[in-house]
Amino acid sequence: MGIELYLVFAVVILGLGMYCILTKKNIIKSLIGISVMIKAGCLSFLAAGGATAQVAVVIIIIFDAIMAAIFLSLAVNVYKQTGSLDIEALKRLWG
Amino acid sequence: MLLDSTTLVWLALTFPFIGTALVPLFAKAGSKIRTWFAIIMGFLTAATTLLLLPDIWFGRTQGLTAQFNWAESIGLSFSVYIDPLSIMMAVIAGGIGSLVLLYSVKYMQGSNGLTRYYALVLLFIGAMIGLVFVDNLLILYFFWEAVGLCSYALIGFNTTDPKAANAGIKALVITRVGDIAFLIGIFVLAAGAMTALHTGFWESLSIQNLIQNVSLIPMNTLTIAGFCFIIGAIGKSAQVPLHVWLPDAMEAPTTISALIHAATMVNAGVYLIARSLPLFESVPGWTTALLCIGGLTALLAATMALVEPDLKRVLAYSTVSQLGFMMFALGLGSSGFVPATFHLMSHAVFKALLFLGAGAVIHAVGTRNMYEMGGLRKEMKLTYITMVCGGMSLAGLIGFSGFWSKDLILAEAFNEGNWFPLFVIAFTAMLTAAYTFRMINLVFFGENRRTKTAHDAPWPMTTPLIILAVGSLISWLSIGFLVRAYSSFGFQGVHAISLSEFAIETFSSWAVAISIVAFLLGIGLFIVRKSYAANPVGSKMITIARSGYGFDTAYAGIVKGFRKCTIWFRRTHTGDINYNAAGIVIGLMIILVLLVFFGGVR
Repeated sequence: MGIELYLVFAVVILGLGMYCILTKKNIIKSLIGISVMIKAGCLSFLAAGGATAQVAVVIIIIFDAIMAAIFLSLAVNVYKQTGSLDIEALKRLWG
Repeated sequence: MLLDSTTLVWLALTFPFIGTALVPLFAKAGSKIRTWFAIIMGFLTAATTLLLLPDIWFGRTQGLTAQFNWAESIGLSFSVYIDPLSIMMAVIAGGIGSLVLLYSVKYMQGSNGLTRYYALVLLFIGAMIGLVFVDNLLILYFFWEAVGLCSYALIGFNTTDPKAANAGIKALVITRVGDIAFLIGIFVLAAGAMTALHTGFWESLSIQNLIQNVSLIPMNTLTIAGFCFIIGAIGKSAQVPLHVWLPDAMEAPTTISALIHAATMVNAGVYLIARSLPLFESVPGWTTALLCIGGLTALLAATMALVEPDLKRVLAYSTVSQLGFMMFALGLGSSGFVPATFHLMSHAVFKALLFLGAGAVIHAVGTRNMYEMGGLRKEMKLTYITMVCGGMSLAGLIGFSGFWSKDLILAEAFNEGNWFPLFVIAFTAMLTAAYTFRMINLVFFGENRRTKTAHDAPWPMTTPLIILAVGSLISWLSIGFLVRAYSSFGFQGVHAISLSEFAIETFSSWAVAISIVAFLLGIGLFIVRKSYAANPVGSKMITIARSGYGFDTAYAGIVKGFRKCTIWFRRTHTGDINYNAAGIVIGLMIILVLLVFFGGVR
């Protein structure tokens, strides 16, 4: 029982987030996938332990919140533009 | 004293940038006020650099340093190091820049976007002075890119002309090849110096620090960095094979050609090589590479100038050729340092003069094709006299500054004792005289082939011409001061000599015979010019030289092939956000793994 268990768990969460990003076509769902992956990063920092890691985690959480805010505002505007939350609708720039 | 030298340094560095920022503001008050404000800022810059000159050239024995601490806790500072070479370049940038601004009043009258024009010219002058003043390679690179950006924006100044816009893009993209190599060279050098000298990142970018500790830096670092610096200088100074942008850059307004593409920016590459000469001189093959590139460039560009029908492009090829002379001189090692920088100074003056004279001619005649000019000698008397001064300086008539500096290069090549480079450069000197005579003959002599009558330009245009013509006659008189300042600053291979000793030394060497014979043979070549065109071999050679030896075709082929590759590669760009996001995450993980295992992260 030690750091390895935390790290294995972090890798599992990372994989879940990656699976979500790769397969889900809904913008909100991809946001959730990215957030999940960030949580995996936080967890591995905490596994390392120490005050520095905890500070890093607090900063990561701040950035996570900022990212979520920007991403959600993007999602709102995508919905206004295309009338759906489907990621495929954003492909029209690809000529 | 109110204006001590440190204050002057900051004034010289800030005046042009203040001007750039305030020109749009003054444009609100009227176009006349804006124009004269820009000119005043230009002349203030020139005055501050000129006031610095005596302090550096007389009396000082080491560089003037000034420092602005930016972020002290991590050691970032903006450090200035000024020696005779940098102050000479700064005086050229400020002096010719202000004359060009004055000339622009009438020359650019009536164009659209003049606020942009004046702001960019002032920005260019500031960036050029910054480039020669700073000691830190990374800040030097910043200014290096800034002058490149100004060059791009001013070549494409006439935004409605697609030819000008394309020429600007061409200049930007081709110099980018050199710039990237230069940046790589800077980082290789900094990395090597950091491990060898045990200094921080910022101190290991200081040129003076590097030069003082050059013996400690490992040779393989110096080799890679040295050749990267050469590629950077090739791009900026338009040497073969990256010279193709400079003739096309002639789509710029003639004032810009005079300032950026003749007198200052294209010298930045030569300045870089001259500055880093003590660093890389010991690298095997480094000076030889410079010698080959410089000689080849000088020769090829001179032959192209010999057949070009466009007045401005003749001058552009001539600039490329003269820059080749400077690179050649630097290729002779530390003994070529004085000839190269001396030729840089005299070339900046007489080439700016020739371009501004050509601008007056083009302004009056309305075409750039020399075969549609002719007989301008009587109608544009002042332009004729000043341009002949510049032309004779370029051709190397005894007494003009171009003669002394070119003869010094020939003398160093002669002293080196290697006959082949000497032959190439003497042959090029002959071609130089021939194309200068051809140019002056086509523009000012012969029968009138024009559709318009011409007259001399108004005073804001002729004043700079007269000042520069006088400069092309007397700028060589400063050689004694220049060399003495170099030697008191401890430059390698420089011995202080006075002006009279220099003159005696010039005329007691056999090299002076070579340069006089080259000049006379050039006249001979010019006189028998008609027989080449009649000769089938000669006319074939003329056609090849007019097409620029196929460099442009080769580059067009490379671009075509690259485009094919990118169309194929485009398939990997699905535009699918799922894949893109996953790609970003995987890329970050790969970088992390690389940093953990190879980056020394503990």
